[in-house]
Amino acid sequence: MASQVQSFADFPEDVQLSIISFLLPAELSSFACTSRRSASLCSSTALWNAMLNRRWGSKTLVRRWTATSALPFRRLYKVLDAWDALLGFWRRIGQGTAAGTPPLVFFEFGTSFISGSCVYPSPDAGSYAVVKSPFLWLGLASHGEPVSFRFEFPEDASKSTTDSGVSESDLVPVNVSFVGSKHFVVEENRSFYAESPDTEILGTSPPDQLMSEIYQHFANRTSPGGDRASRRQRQRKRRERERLGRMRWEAEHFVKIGSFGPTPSRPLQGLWKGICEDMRLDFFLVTYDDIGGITCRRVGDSGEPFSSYSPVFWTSNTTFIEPPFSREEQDIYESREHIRPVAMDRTDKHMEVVSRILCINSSYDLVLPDLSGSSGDPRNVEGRIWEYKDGTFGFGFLRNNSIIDLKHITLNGRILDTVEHCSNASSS
Amino acid sequence: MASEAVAVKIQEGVAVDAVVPAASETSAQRKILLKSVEGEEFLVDELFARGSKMISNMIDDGFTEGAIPLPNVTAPVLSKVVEYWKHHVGKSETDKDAREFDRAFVKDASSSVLFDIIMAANYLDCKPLLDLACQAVADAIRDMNVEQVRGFFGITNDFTPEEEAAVLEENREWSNALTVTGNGQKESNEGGNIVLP
Repeated sequence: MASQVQSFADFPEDVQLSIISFLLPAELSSFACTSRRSASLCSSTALWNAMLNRRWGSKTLVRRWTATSALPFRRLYKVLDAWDALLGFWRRIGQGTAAGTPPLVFFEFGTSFISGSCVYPSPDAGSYAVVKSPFLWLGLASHGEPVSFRFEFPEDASKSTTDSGVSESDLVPVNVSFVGSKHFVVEENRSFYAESPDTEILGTSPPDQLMSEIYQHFANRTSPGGDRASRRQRQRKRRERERLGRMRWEAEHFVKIGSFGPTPSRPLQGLWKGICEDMRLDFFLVTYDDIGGITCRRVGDSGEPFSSYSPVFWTSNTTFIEPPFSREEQDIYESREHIRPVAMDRTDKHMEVVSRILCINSSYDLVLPDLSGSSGDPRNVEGRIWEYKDGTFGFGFLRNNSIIDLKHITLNGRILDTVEHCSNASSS
Repeated sequence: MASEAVAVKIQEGVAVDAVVPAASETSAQRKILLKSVEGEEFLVDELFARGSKMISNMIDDGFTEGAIPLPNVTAPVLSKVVEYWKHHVGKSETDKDAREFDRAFVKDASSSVLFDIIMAANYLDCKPLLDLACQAVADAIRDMNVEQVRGFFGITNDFTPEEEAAVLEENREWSNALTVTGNGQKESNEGGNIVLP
């Protein structure tokens, strides 16, 4: 059956753009090489605007990106495509980080930038609150070029709070480079100011309008450090240090936390938060391995190396015990107390209906001083996970009678229960 | 009796040669008569016909007499479009049957069929069908090299050798595996030290 359409050129131009707007950039690049007309079509602003909106329209205000930037849309797509790989959770690795530096960083879209925040449990006892502290900012400068900045809070946090209790901070230019797709490095970009050694030029710090936008996003207790004069003074000091060849800090490395949420086949997977026996909030990462096992580790807010921790719990058998539960299992569960913040509504029991049970082990080799011969007793390490109807779960061990309930840290890509803090180090 | 048999056939939206009064008012719903470029007539529920914004506007403008002529659409294509409307109009976007229909609709469709559907959907102003067909075309050229894409779309290469080399180079940043001929498997840009912009 002969078609009315003999060649691509027979389509009206808006249909041509429609067709190629469904192509991924890789296919678009092949199409661009087919003819002069194709190449010209592929650089059409309307096309790249459609591509930008299709991919990121639901996540950010694309028109803010395109309006503030002099970048051709095609180049903007490339920038966002690279930065898109940052979204989600990463954890800090390696030396070069002061003790007390939070290991978790979370990247998300702002209206016209991407923000990276240090995320750590609130130090307040008995609270599920999660602290989000500004760390990195990636966006477009006034002249359109992509730039990245790191928030730097003065070492002595207490000294720099203004009367209104707001902490001061600086934005320091950095380079964010990928090493493969699951590892990136943040390094100071000392050549950012190289063009302007002594004079103050517009490009030396993000324009004030951009600055206030950044601080507005972090909504709160951070403010551009002092007035222009003190800021300029700090910049002068910084350049002085740079001239003397001193780096402010070493390169920081981060690796991606791949799966930070549960799936139907891996219901316990991901990042969780829970209040422990000492009424402090902790973060936990549950991962599934290739041989059908589950491991849970604490994600500390201390500087201790992540990998040296014994797991909080583990199991190699991920088959759940389904209801109806034996009398013994019911007793194990009902004899326990859920650790919960005092303020919590005690009548909210619906989440405590157990839908499934899993047997777990802790590999802590506990020797309880008042129980002789206990180190050989397997019940010291045995425990249970109780999965609740809402998909969250609690865990506990036979050696005690408490349940630590774990809750989601994020929902729909946003961190729940956030509070703002402005220091690099978590206070104890 | 004969007229009843004809009426049953019409119900299924199959083209008939007999001239049938347009927009017959049944208690259930009105029907609209559409005429393809060859003169074949399709009697379609008004609800489905409104899957085309163009036809919908014409109905609203008071078009009640005779058939709506569609000189840009052939009968085989129009019959496919009507099928699409029947599975989609009035259904939710996530309807499972509709999606199953879409899968079968585009599966193994030749490029000439897809092109015709694109033209028809554009002329009739039926965006969901246009998007479906465009996506199918995009999927079809997924692993093609440049020469194959040219063949698929009937595009003539009018680059000089220098121009072609330049445009290939310029586009290579998007696809490591960009080739004019040879295996066109696309890979994403992974690995290596990529400094983020």
